[in-house]
Amino acid sequence: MLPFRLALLLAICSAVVMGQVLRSDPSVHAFFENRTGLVSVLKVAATGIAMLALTYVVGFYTATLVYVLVYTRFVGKHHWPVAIALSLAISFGSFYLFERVLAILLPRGMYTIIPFFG
Amino acid sequence: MSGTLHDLLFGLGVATQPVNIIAGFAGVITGTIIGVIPALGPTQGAALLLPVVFRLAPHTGLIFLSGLYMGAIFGGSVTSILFNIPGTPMSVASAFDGYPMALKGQGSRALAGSALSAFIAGTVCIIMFTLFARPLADYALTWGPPEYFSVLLLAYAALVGLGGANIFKSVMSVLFGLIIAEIGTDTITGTLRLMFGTFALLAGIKFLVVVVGAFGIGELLRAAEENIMTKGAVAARISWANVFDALKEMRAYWKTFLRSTISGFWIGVLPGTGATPASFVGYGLAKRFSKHPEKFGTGILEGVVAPESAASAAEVGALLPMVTVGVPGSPTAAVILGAMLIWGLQPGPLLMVDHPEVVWGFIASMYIAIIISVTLNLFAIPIWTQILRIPFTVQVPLISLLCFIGGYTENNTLFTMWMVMVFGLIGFLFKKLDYPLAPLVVAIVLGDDTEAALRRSLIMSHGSLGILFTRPVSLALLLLAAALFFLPVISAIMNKRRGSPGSPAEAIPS
Repeated sequence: MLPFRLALLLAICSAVVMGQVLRSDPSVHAFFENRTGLVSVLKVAATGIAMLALTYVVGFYTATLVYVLVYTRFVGKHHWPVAIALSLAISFGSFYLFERVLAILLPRGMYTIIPFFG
Repeated sequence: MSGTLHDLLFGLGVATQPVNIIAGFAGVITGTIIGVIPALGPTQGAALLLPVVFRLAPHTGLIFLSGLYMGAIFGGSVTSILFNIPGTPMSVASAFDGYPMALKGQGSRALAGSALSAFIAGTVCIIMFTLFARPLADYALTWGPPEYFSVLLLAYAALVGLGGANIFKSVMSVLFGLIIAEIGTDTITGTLRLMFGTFALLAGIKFLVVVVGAFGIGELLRAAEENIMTKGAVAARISWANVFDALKEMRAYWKTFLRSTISGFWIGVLPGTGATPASFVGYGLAKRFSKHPEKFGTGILEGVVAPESAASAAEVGALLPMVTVGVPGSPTAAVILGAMLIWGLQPGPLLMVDHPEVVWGFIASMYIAIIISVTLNLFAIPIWTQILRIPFTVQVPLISLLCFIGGYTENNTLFTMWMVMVFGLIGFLFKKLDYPLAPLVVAIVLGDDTEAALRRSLIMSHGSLGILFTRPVSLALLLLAAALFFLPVISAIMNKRRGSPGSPAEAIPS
């Protein structure tokens, strides 16, 4: 019963806020000020989602390797040697920290690309 | 009084054990690094590091968190003053005068003033904290479920009334948080709620997942949109001469300091408000009472002292209701409260009786953390500024990965990693649409307790809500909650009558 009452209150507040928005100046409603902002947000969100999807297939550490490489090389426009060094350092560093030092087992994937790496 | 002193000495004994001192140092260093990084503040930092902190003993973990808390406050001010990039929202006001001072070549004086005022205000407030903690907890021990429900309602009312956002949006944020807290098994009847057939939701959505997503990923998305570019670090070194100069000059601002510290402490004690509004109020009050208000914003030390001491005071004040009553005074305090719950500690009056080593160790560790922070802040500034050289495009994958891992460790399923992403997007939407996030987090942390307190009260009264109004303490708390809830409306009417714009926050330069 309680969730229903809370949801009912939420609906009433939503209606009030919608009323306030409809009565206000429409020029202030632009969600993104410019296209650059939208593209930047999409880059961060889409690569993050892709990273999680890839984790199902190849496991967390291999996905990390690919994610950091792609992000730093193609979004960050860093040079290949920098991108490769960062992706190796972050993926192997996190593997060592979480699996070996902290004994936190992060998800494995359906396929094993790098043998001990999951 | 002697009892409090005895407890404090006991706490100092706990906090000065070698392992705890190391934890305090590690916390301050991590906190300062987190404070310097623009997309991370103490709340995000505490949330991101919780999976690691859980592996420590509760009192060691809490000492680490209090070090992180203090370190992040100092770290945020460094970037705010030197680069006009506030590392945390609470250090925005410090940039109003701090950055102009840095441009005039007085950066090290501004930093010394900032560190010293935060240090002194923090110390004064920790003493106030020590004095108030025990009496408040003893008093709260006499409370039953109706009083506890009313104090939680007071917390939500304060979040809505003092948050500064649209009232309806704040209420929606609270309601959304309460609904999320309801997901999973009903703790009283055992029925399953709002799961929609997804068994991964059986244990509910944990606050950690929401906090890591909304604050970590959400803040990253906002930073990406605003295109936060870190500028090259400048050389900044502090000499003892700068420290003594700042200390000498600060003596002239003792009134400003006192006003900021007292107002900051009480703003911090009020649930859910925290250091950000306190820093603006501190700055606004200093400007309003100054003989030379026109000089504010041009680079004067008083403009740094006021927000820094208020923010530091509020951060300490926010921990008082968390430890004594179990209601967090700020979003960061909410995260620390959540951590205590995961350790199996129930924050509230009984904590002082059942686990004195945790509470007094935590209080004593704040004394030690603040000393470590000020020392590190004064001498290691050139090192911290190097962190700003890490490009944002490297920070993004690093912080995202930390968020995903933080979510995963909650119950070891990939589902929670996806929830982190979902709450990241929700957090971003909240920010873009001006919905406050603090009420959401506080409602998720306190949701279960709120419902349990309400239902126990109703069981006591055989289903009548009258029990909340017939017990004097509960009634007083409810009246206070109503006053706080309607505070924005009351102050708007009063200002209209007076014909003045009014609030100290409006004295802030845009």
